[in-house]
Amino acid sequence: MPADTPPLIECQNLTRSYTLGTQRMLSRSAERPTVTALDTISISIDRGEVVGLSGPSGSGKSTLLHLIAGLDTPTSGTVTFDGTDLKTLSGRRRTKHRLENVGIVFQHFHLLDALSARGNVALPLVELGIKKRDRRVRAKELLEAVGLGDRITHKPAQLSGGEQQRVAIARALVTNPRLVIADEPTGELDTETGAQVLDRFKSVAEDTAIVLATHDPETLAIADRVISLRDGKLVADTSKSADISESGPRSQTESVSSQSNSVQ
Amino acid sequence: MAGDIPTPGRIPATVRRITATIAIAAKRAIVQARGSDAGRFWSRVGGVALAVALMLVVTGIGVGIATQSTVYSDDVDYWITPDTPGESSVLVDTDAPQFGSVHPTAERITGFEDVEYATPVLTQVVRLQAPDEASEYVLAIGVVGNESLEHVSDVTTTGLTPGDPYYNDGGYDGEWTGEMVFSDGAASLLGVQTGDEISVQRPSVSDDRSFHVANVDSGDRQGSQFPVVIMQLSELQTLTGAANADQAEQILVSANDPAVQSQLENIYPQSTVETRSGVTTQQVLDDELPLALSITAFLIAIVVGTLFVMTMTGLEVTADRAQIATLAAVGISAQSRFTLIATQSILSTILGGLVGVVLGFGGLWLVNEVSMQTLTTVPVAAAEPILALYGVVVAVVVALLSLPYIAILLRRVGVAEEVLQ
Repeated sequence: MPADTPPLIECQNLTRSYTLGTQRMLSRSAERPTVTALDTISISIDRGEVVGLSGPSGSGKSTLLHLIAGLDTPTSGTVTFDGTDLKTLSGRRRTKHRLENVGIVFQHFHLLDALSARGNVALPLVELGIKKRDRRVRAKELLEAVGLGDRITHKPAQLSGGEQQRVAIARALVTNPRLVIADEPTGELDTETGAQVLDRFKSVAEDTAIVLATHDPETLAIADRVISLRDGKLVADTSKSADISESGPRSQTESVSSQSNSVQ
Repeated sequence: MAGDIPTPGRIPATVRRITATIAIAAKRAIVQARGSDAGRFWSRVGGVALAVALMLVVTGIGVGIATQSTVYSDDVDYWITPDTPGESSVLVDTDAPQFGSVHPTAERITGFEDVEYATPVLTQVVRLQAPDEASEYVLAIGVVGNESLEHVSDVTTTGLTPGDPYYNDGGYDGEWTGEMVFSDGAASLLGVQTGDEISVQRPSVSDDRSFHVANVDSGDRQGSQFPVVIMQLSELQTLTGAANADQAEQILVSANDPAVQSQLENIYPQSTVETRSGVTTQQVLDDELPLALSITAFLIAIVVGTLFVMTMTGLEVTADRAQIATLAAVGISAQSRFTLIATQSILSTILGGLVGVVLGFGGLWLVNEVSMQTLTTVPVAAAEPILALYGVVVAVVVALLSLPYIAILLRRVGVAEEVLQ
């Protein structure tokens, strides 16, 4: 990638706090406690880059993932996608942004029970108003790409966990998004199945930027770069190509990059 | 796999998106009806069905009353009877209050729209003598014979020449028929049969006035056992001296529309218009009750149905939050999510309406069966085919009324929170 190409995602001083609402019933005026899930994080993600987010439970991985995907908005700071600050978008436009630019893979697959594997994969294309025949062709191509060419008419209940996750990956890629985020994509799979799913994932994603949140070192192994979080703070940003100090935000973690293995 | 996204075709993408979303909703509804969530689905169907069925039963009864296909059978009979005698009225003061000029009045009433016929009724106790010299007192009822007037006091009028020919436009000089129709009880009492000559022991009847048995009613009606004879009104008037003022005690009206009652009430001052049985439903119920019943049933069905659908949809959206949030996460717009859930709700509600129509018609049948076994001889409720359409339309209205609530519920589904879980 040329050095002057702007990053696909740029997070600047990203903070996300949640207000605990339990005291609201007792007193509206009382100071309600807040918890900071993410604390002034600044990172950037390039086009086609595979980034792993690691850290223990509660470290802020999922929160960061949701902010990057435009599922949530930061309390302060900005998330810029290809130059557009997601915070400036209305809810409707953020949804459209996700449809056109972001693919999401969930830990629990979240497939629609009533639809076949092909129907689930084609779902985002329905929203785009694509013709049925074209939807079917496109969904079949992707299912074949993830090794499920013989399962296209199967309902989720008729598929194994690994197969369901591959359907979810195909669904995430069906609109050719520029970014795919995956939250514990192998969390419900055994090691061997997880490895197979990840192989498929990386091979079909091609030029798509991927951000994976996981505890699993095997999953992190496919990443070009691993960002480690703890208590909502960035503690390491390790690149396999060792060009850690290329960009501004990435240099924030140079001093802790040597600790990244221990953090994971 | 990049660069392979198909492009929307000639049909507007919005139309294709909506139709495809509706198709997905239909699939989801079918799967839900068969799957582990079937209880919730069928509860909603059942709730709507119950509301619609009850509405149809009540409406059917209301329509039945309003269209007179219930307690009145095909005809509605009214008796116009005098309240009290009075010098200033047209009532004629005899031993009991009577109307005067009854023949022309009955003719005028017959001219009313929806009135099939009207006949004055005069009753007198007369002493009849059989050919074997046996004589007995019987109740003589004088009427103007009409083909539609089948029975009077449960005795047939078959055998009477229609039109009361002796009256002859008030001249009382027409053809004297001398026809008497005997009830089974009267015939047994005097020991007579059809064709026998009868003598009337009243001083006002001249000797050349003969009577004969025109018919004997041997029917099973309760009244046929009483000693009653039916005869031409003018002949009974002549027999009893009531011909001078063309008197009768009552006027019987057969009509097809209860609205005629108000017209009848204006015929004679100081008179009462009663229905045939006197204690039939029409006297008990106000004229507007059927409409009130139907409107109340409609409103209750709408309110109960809508509340039920809203409650069940609330439970459904709550249980479906994860999938709804997933749809939002992958970029399915709020409009499409609403279309999806609303279509599911509408489909199950319409299904409830259809089931309710079947139950409603079953209920109407049951009401009619029970009422005919215990209270009436004719159906109480009207099971009109249009009620089926009405039931489905009400179900659709219920579904539409619940849509704003669905929209509110969907807005409350937090995408990030659900996806996090």
